[in-house]
Amino acid sequence: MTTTDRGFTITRLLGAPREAVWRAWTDPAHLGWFFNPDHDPGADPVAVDLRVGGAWRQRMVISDDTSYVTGGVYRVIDPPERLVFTWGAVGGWPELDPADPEAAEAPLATVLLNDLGGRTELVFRLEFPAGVDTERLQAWLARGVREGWTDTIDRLVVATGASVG
Amino acid sequence: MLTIELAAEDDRISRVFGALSDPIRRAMLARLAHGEATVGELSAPHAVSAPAISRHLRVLESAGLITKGRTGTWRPCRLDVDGLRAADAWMAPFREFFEDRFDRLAAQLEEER
Repeated sequence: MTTTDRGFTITRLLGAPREAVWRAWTDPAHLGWFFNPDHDPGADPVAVDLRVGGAWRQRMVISDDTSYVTGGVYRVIDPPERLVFTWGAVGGWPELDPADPEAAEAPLATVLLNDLGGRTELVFRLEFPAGVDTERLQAWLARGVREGWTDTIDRLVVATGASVG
Repeated sequence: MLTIELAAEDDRISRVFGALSDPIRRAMLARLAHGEATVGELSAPHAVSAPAISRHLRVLESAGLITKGRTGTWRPCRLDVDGLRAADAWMAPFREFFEDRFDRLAAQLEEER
């Protein structure tokens, strides 16, 4: 799927049409699900500037005196199918550089919504483009290690009964 | 908090990915995924010198990907599951963050119906 980075993919089957899922990602009135579980969704407004380069900002409350802003900066907006954003917020978590909110180091989130006739398959991918050591990573990926390593991890998961990232 | 954890893992993860960047070392890991093996067994499929094999094993060991038995003349190598897990574990909090949210997205969509 991707050849330049590391990350993970989460796939979910949702019992709602694609338009409803798109709205849940992009309409401030429908982004309540993104808050922390015990957060009063009315307490902090969600800001969505739905255009390429625009920001989505949402304050996450951990406790009375701890909170942080998260969200994203939109890179691709293709309703109701595909949404790509740099995950994070300027002054928030993950921290985005105000001078360069689309920095290559920032985690990149891709939301794909597949229409299953009234239901929707959500395919969410988070990528860490620069990772830890770009040169090594690139060399590693160029040689196609990704599949092999994934297989190894899968075998280990089976062998150990452990859940690995 | 996450940032600090990521920084602390940086060195180790770099070593892991460096170790994984070589096809012979990956083949060795694939072999060890099926069970422990001797150095001879690990080197058999590869047309490289004994010192080169030793070097590959040292890289894997210092990356924490394998361990070598210390007793007797038969010193089997085995996968160090923790090493591989550490390489992947730094990503886990991010995954959990979104898994949690998608649970609630599904619930919210149910309510909206």
